Amino acid sequence: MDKLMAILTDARPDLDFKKEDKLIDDEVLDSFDIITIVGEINSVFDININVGDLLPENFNSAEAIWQIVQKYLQEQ
Amino acid sequence: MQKFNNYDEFIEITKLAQQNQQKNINCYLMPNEINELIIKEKLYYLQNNTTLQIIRKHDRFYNVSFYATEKFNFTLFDSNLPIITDIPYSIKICDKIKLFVLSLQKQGFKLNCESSRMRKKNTNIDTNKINNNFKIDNITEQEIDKVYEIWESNFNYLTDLLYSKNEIQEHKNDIYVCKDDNGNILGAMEILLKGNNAWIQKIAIKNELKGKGIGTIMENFYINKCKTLGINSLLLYTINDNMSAQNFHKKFGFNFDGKHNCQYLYLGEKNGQINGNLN
Repeated sequence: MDKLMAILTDARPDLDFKKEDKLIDDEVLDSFDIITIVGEINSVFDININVGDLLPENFNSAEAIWQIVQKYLQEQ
Repeated sequence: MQKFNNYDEFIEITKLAQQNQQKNINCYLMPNEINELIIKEKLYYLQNNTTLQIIRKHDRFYNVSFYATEKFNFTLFDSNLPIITDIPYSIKICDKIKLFVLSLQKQGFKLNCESSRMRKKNTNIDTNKINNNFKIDNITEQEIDKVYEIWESNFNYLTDLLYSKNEIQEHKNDIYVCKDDNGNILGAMEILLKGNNAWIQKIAIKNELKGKGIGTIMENFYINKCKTLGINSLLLYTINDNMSAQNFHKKFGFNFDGKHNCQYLYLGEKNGQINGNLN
């Protein structure tokens, strides 16, 4: 989780990811943020998040993103 | 070039590309964006063994994203319009992205422009700068030609992703004009309000009226509008070598936020397919 928080904070230092829970629904993250964050996650965790998993509910909060990352790590 | 007909088809095709080890990706669209493009019939694809091209059609250019293996293989699909692709860089530039950029360049894409994102958190406004002699309003049908002229004389249509007249019509709800008492248009801008984020784009003043404070009035209007709506994240992109634009926005509290975008451009070769790979 620390690695993920570092990625998120690097991408958007202005946000408190411990509190945000509508990152996509409220369009807090823009499309370039998403490209950057997903690209970094794929690179750092050596996974490949599928387009089908790019759903608002999977990216609305740091916790939700962590669940997705864990799902991919467990599948490896 | 084939058109995407629905969201499920988009997911199926891109998922298959990823399963085929096409892991160099510069496209992560959310469902709402995909659906909107499909409804407007602006989302297409083209694929070969190593590369899936996701094509967003604009009137004056194509914006293409890729799902590619290391043997990236771009297929030219229309030699009449320029093709652009964006590589958003974060703080780290991983080797994978470097290789992808190298492969783009090998196939004829050239760096067209680099831009930086500027952000402002504080929405305080100096209301003394609001001047009641000017009126800012949504663009009307009759004003489309004038706005088109102002933008054309201020910007490069590719680096600034300028609209055709039809596209101005399509985006008219987001486009604002600044007028004097006689209704003469002095400047124009586009304001995108997206949830908690607001973007200002294409802010431009008629050339002969520059330096008279009209830009300040327009930018204050934007900031004030965001404040009224409770939006506290204000963003914009400026081309890296456009120092005057950067300095202008800095006066209002905008600063580079560490995000950097590179636009690569392919001007095309006549017809045919271009092949090549990293190896």
